[in-house]
Amino acid sequence: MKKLFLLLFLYLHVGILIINNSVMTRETYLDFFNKKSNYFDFLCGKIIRNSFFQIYGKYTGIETGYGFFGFNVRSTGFVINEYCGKTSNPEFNSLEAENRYGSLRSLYIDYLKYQFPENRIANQVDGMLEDYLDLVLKNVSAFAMRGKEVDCDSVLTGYYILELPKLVDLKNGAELNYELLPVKKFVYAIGK
Amino acid sequence: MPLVNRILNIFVYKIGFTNPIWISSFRIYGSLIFLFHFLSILPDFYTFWGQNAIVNPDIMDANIDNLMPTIYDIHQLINKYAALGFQTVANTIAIIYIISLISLALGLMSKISAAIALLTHLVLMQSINIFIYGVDFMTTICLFYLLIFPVGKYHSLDNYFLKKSNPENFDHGIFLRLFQIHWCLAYFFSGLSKALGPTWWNGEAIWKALNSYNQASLINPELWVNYPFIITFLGISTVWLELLFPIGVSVKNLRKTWIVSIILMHIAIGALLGLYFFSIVMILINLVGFWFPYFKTPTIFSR
Repeated sequence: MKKLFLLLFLYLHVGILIINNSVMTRETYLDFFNKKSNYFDFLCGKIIRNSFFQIYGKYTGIETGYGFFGFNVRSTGFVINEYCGKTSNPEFNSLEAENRYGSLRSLYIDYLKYQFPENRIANQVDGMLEDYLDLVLKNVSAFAMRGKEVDCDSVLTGYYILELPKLVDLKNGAELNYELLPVKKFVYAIGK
Repeated sequence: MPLVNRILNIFVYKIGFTNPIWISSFRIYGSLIFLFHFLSILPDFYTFWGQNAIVNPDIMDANIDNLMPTIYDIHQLINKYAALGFQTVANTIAIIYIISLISLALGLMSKISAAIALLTHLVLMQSINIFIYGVDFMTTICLFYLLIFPVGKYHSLDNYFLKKSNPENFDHGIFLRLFQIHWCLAYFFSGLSKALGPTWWNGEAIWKALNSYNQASLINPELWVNYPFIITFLGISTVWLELLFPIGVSVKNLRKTWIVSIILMHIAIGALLGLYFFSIVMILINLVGFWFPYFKTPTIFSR
């Protein structure tokens, strides 16, 4: 009996793993190449977002897709705070904290596509997501200012994307220049 | 149950002799790596899990599903019955996580320790959900397997005290197969998603990854500018290594070469992208899943 249960569990676990990853790979493929999804895709999406799948995936860790850096590698994002003409960024005591902060920086990249009106209409929650991310950005700015003397009455916080030449251009002799493309800027008032 | 036995014949018994050192190594080294990973962020503990964290706990809590409680949720719940500070709750959960990992490494009440480690890890990560990355998901997966695998049966204090050692191959054979299938699928899908994107074939993806700003990176990406062909080669090699991983590790003559290549790839990820703990966890997974089980003779540690 124990063997039977083990086998059933094995099949269920591996089955969920295969379904989850197949659907996620397919969805990323459609999204990346701007292709239209069909009814089958819609149905598969419903299945993996079913509460059983989600709870099981959350507690076993198999909710994650394995497409790390798949299809394409995200651009690198930066949050830069300017205060009294100087940059003022969060300071950490460990490399691990830097890595975790890096995850937040890349979180913003995901919402950039919703800046386009057609995508915004397609998903009603994007407005809320944008507000939420702005709030997170505000928290990060406040954290960066903590413990510093208040000399100016506002902080300018900007979200930038690192632009670098393509490898093919470098092969053809292009110069290696890094540029920061501003995506969004906020001004936060500070109460003295 | 002849059908069950036939299936087991195909999936488990055909593995042949497998050295149980894989399962004890998974428990001991896995727990220690997760422990050091968590200890490495302790200097910034309050920055992420503090009452006045970089992003306020209630704001982080607003971003997530309700499938798993956060420290904020637990604090709210406790406060219905007793006044306890947020920081006390956060510190307590962190201490429980650390103790459970030490206990798991020693093999003391392995199942209970693994269950507590898994739950506390999930709560800690859910609480900082906007700051999590690959290694946290890998840790969850490994802790789940440490919970369901019979990790206390070999080289553990449980076994020492309770003398419950069971040398029968089946006990860990089926779990080894599950572990192997999982990582074969993981690498395959990782390779597939890379293969479908054009940038992995011309080196642009690797170039971009090398330039993803990381203070922990050991090599300045600008040094690669004069060697674009190496970048292209690395991109293509990564795709093939991952996509064909299930075949590479299944063919006896290819297995060691494949695992060494994958380990080199993870060392490169650690050194170039600064993702040290992610790389160490992935190297451990490859060693315990595809190398240690095939040790012919028991080592001093497998007694």
